[in-house]
Order: sequence, then C-alpha cells, then structure tokens
Amino acid sequence: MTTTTKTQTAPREHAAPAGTPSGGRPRRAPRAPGALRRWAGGAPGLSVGIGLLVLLLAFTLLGPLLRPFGPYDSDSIPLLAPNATNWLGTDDLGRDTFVRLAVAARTSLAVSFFTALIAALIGTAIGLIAGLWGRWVDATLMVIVELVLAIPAILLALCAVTVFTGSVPTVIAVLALAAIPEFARLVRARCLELRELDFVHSARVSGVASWRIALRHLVPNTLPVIAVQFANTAAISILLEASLSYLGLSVQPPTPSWGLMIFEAQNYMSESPWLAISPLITILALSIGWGLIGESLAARRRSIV
Amino acid sequence: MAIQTITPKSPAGTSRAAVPRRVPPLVTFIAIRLLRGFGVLVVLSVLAFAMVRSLPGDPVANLIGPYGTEDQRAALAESLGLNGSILTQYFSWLGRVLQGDWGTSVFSGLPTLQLVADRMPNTIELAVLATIISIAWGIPAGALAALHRGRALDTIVRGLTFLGMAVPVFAFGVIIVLVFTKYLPQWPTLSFVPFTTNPLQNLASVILPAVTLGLPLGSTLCRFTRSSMLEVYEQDYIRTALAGGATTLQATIRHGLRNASAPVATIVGLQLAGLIGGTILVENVFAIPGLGQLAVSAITQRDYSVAQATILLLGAIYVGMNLVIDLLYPILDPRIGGRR
Repeated sequence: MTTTTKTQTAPREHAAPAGTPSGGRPRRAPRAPGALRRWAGGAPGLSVGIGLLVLLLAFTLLGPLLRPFGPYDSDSIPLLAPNATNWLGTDDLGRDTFVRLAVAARTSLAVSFFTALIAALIGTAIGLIAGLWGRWVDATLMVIVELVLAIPAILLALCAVTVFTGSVPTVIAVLALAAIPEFARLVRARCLELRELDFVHSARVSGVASWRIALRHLVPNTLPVIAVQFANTAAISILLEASLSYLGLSVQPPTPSWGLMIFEAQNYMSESPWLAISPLITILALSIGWGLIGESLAARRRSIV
Repeated sequence: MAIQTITPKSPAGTSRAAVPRRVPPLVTFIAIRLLRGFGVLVVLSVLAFAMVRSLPGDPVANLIGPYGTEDQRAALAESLGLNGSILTQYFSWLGRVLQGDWGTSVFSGLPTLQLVADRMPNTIELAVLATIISIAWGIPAGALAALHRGRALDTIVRGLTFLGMAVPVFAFGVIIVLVFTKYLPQWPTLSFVPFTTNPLQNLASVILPAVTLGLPLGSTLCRFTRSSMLEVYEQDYIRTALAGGATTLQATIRHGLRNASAPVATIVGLQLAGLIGGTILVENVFAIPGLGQLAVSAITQRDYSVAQATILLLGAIYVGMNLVIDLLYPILDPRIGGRR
C-alpha cells in the first residue's frame, strides 16, 4: 500500500518548476471521482499495472479450467456470438474463444517476461563489463551495441524465422537480441556515473576485486534503471510478438496466439467483430500493464534522484 | 571557485580543451553517421547471406531435384556462387547484388530485381508519408501539452499517447479497415492504386495506411516533445524572454521549439526502426503491394532470393531515411558535433 500512495503523489517530472503544476488541479477535484482522476492524470501507479499482470496470469492459469472446452476442439457451432456457454463466442472453426484466449496468454506472458529477463541479464553483464573495464573493451563492445541497436528488430526477426521457422524460443531469442543493446547502454552509462563516486573509489582502494565491486556495489545501484527498462522491454515485446504472429511468423497454427487470432478474425470482421476485439483487449491489457509499471517506476526513480 | 573543487576528480574536461581541433566537428559527426549506416548495411548483407546458407539441406540438390546430372549440378553451383570458401562465396554474392543481379524468384519466376523495383516506391511513399503525419501531429501536440502542463489538455494528450504506444499497429489498422469498409465503402481502403495510374486515387488509398502508421508513431514523438519542452521551459533564455515581455506562446515558438527540436530529431531517427516494422504490418493489413508484403510472402513461401532482397532494401530505406534526419541535425542545432 505504501508503494501505491508513494507513486500517486510522486511528481511526474524531474525538477518540477515551483508552483506551476498544481494551479488547475484543486479546482477540478470536486467534479471527477478521485480514482478516475488519478487514472486519467496518467499516474495510476504500479498497483494497476501489477494488477493487470496478475489478472492475466490468473486468466491464463484458471481460464481453461472454467470452461469444458479444449483450445483445439471444434465442438461448437462456428462464429457464435458471446453467450452463456461460449462466453466470448466461437471462431470460424467452432473453437471456444475464451479458452483459446486464455491459452494464448501463456505465449504472450512467456515471451514478454523471458525476453525482458534474458535481455536484462545479458545486457547488464555487457554494460558492467564495458563500464568497469573501460578502454578498448568498452570501445569494442559499444561499437557492436550501437550496430545491433541500429538494426530494426523486425528485420532481425524476419531473418531468424526464415532459418529457424517461427516458434516461441526463436521469437524470444530474436526479441531479446534486439533488446540487449538498450540495457547495455543504460547500465554502462550508470556505471560510468557510479565509478566516480566515493564508495566505489574506497572499495577499489581497499583492494576489492573488480567483479566484487560490480556485483556488490554497482548492480544494486543500477537496479532501478534495469527495472524500468525491463518493464518497457516487456511491453514492447508483447507488441512485437503479436505483430510477428499476426504476420504468421511466430507461433504456428493451430496453437492459439493473440496476433494470429486477430489475423484469423479479419475475414469475419463485419459479422463477428468480437472475434478480433477480445484478443485486442488482452494485448492492450498486457502491454498497458507493463507500460504502467515502467512509467511509474521511472517516475519514482526521477522523484528519488 | 566551487566548480574548481569538483573538477579535479575527472580530468577529462581539462585534457579535452588542450587538444587542438583538426577536423571540423560537423564533418566527424556526419562521417560517423555515414559509417554507422554503412555498418548496418554490411551486417544486414551478412545476415541475408547467412540466412540462405544456413538453411538445412544442400541448396543445389534442393533446386535441381533428384534427376539433375553432375554437369548441371556443377553449373548451378557455379551460377549460385557456391564454390570456394564461405568468404569468397559472400564476396561473389555481394558483387552480384551490387551489380543488380539479384537472382530469380522461385515462386513467380520473375527476376527478383523487377519484383522489388515495382514495390519499393510504394513502401517509400508509405514510410515518408507516415513520418510526416507523425511529426505533423506529434510535435505540435507535445508542445501544446507542455504549454498546458497539468491541465485538462495535457491529461488528454498523455492518456491518448499512452494508448497509442500500447496499441499494436496492425490491430489499429484492422479497426480502421473495419470502420471504413463498413461506413465509407466507396473509399479505396483495400484497393491500392499506383501513383503512376492516378496520383489522386493513389493518395486516397495510401492516406489511411499512413495514418494507421503515423498516429501511433507520433505518440512517442509527442511524449518526447513534451518532456523536451518542459526541460526547455526551465532554461534561462526562456525566463529572459518572458521577463522581456514575450508571451508564453511567443517564447515557445521563438526559443522553445528550436531548442527542443534536436532531442526530438533523435527520437524520430530511433523511431525509423519501428517505422520499418510498421510498414511491413500495415502493408499486409491494407494489401499494399510493397516490400514488406513481399518480404512476408517470400519468407512464408521460402522464396529466398526475394527474401534476401527485401530485407536488404528495407534496411537500405531505413539507413537512407536515418541519413536524411542526421543531415537535418546541424540545421536544427548548429552546436551539434561540438560535443561528440
């Protein structure tokens, strides 16, 4: 609870000019309900983001158990509208959309989380090495990082799926590869800042080994930066994964996936728009969830620094 | 005095000033950018080359089938440039690519060069138009939001841009297609008209995809413009301008926008990667015969020479547009290059 109140009251921008921002706020207060105003104010906080993720996690774990349908079973009438039996209707093959949506959430959750995790681990390691070693190691690593950063992720993904065909591990690997440089750059920049601080100097003078300085002193101090980037990477990965699966370059049918479901729904858009709308809402929920976490972590970081 | 007590810790500042300047910073800046663009193209060419080479199976055997003679195999291996070490293979392949010999599409039987040449203008048109749209709404909206910081307009802009960043481009496109085919059936939503056939019709058929792509792209731009403007508002020159009797709007237009523009240009450059991805998606949603659509169909059909060509050309468009933005930098901010 403390985190909630903290984020909501925290100033959104670094070094807010004195007096300017709060001018119009109190006057509006009686008109809009508090919760709504906070939401619209762009500072709904960490809790809403985490809440969305937990909700989706519960949905993917419990959803299939709630309904007596399998994700691959065509055991209903095709293209049914949402009703008491098929809560979100059925697709063109008579499969239950609710169950497919829940099962597909696994792919998206896994891709977003593991992409960010892998990229964070490797990117942080590269950033630490570059930031601590300096000189030619730094120069070489940064040239590589800049180069990878300059290649559009989607082109890397196109190359990869051509060779390895679309699958969850391929997609995670490619998206992680594309996300590593940003982590490496951020961690390196933070390391360069920290390196000049007294506690690092004194650790070095006392003869503490470089790797120990990195793990004990630098990593904990870089964690806020990493956390923000982690959430942002996860949010972007959702959109990229959905895009790739929409193009048929990620998970292959009949495995359910949100992007693929929108693609399949396109042909029945005018008769059964809910087919496309339900995966769109879940994609939005997941990317907004991660996005909110990233935003509020960044806001909190700014207010602390 | 206070500054001097801090500086001795970092000697970088003092040693830098002592080095005599030889190359003008602008030249180094542009040279670095050119070099980076070149590097990206080299990496992409290696990837495109490796992509086909690392496929399982022998390409010669795959192409010629089980009934080819030994002579035919040798000839095909020769024409595919499969002789010699991997390095000589790469360079001979690159040489042919640079000469315009891009192979033949296995799927359509047409020369790859012709296929991509027909589609490239459509992709460039879409990409440029989308960039213009994103700038045209993103920057003014960001500046306005910064001007109205904390008030209703700011809140609305920030809410919408957050949504714009979270919504997948293709889903946005699907919704637009749905709405337009239902309520405006006479609009050429899904029927692309080439520019050479009818420029006006072409614009009508391209504007929706460009908006689909440009609106979400502008969201990021809008947010960066806003925060960049807020930073500018804290600078002394704005205070001076205001003290000199300028209104906030005058100060924003004369001093604010110009100073906030360089970081925003960086974002435009960074966004081009997303733009390339976006064109691939939007072309598929709106059935525009462009490179992105060709790339996806080539990959799903395992038409490798076309896949290689489209990946290289999409990369080239990206590098080219990046270069244009890099060249705009010195105009936006004459100090550029001094620091790097």
